[in-house]
Amino acid sequence: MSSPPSASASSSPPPCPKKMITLRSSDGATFEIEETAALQSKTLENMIHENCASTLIPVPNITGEVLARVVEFCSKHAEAGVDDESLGAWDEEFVAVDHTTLFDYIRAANFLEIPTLLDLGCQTVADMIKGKTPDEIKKTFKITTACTPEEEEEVRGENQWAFE
Amino acid sequence: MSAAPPPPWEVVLLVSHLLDPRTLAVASCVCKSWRASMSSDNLWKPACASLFPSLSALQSTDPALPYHRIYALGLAASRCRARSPAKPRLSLDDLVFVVDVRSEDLPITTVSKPGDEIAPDPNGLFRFELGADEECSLAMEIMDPVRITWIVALRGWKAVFTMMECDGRASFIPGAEGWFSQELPLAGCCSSAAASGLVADMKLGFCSRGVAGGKIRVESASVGILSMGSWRYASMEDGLRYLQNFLA
Repeated sequence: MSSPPSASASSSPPPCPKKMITLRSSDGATFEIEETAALQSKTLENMIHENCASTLIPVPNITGEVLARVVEFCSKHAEAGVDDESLGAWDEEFVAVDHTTLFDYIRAANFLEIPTLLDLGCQTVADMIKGKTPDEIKKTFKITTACTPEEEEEVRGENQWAFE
Repeated sequence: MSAAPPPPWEVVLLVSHLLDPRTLAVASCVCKSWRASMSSDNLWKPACASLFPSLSALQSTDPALPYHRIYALGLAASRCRARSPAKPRLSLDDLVFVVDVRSEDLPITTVSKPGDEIAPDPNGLFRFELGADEECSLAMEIMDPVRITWIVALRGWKAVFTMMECDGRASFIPGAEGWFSQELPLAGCCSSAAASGLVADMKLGFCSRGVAGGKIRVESASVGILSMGSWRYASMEDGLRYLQNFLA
């Protein structure tokens, strides 16, 4: 974290210390997140406004590993003074993970209603699907469930136009 | 890396909203659960509404018809409509144009020109000047009854098609042309009761040069196919495609 070369951290000190929220993952790990960062999540925003966030917010669907990264994402996106280009590059690196993790991000973003993370994750997966044949898609995502030959023929016939 | 589990259905559903119709259709072919997710009406309805708004009537008549199928139908229909006809197999060189002018069974003039001696129209229209040989044209009285015949034949006399056969009068206004026209029959797809919208068109030029006694001669003939809808000459390609139905 960079700071200007002066004794105090910023030019205009905040009137009060930044409010921190504590989140608890499904496996009991806790994470602190600034309120401004937490507001990225509509779910958390609602809880904060209803004043349920005074102590601890349990996030039962999300493991500590994923929650830590989600907190990191929200904090980064709440940061002031980051230009679009470097944020874009940071985002790209953020989603350069294995598929399982990527899917976890998407589900977490869906549950916590974080539009920026949801769009980022879904677009990344969408880009993996576009332009590929069905067999290539199966390979990319290691999908092994097969259709019966009749079903396959039927769906191919219906969608033949997309292959022309 | 060990085999990771495939995308959970929740993720597939969320991602599907970001996919364009073509990708959705291809992705439907991946597996059964993807087919269900990618075919859902709410994914396809917006695309149908914007590209094929008129086809929403289909859904009203048959609510069981899914929007992804309506989309495929709309696409196929618009491709069909946009399809341009095949290039004609006939060319001008394959044809011979014959124009015959008679007056009360007396042959006045007959012009026969093979296609390779006819200059194509500079604007690509099916319209040609067939010079008549004045020397060979008999003289007529003005306003004499005339019968005009225009025949197009396949080289080597393999087939003929009569473009027009009509009666008129040798009207003569100096420099002006006698105009004859006759509707052409419809080829192929409808019964002869329907109109083709095409007209065989001929202009004869008469002159009185070097003719005694106020009589006139045929000095030129130009022929073409006119479209009744636009009252313009048909293109060379359209004219050839038309003749193909009767000659080839």
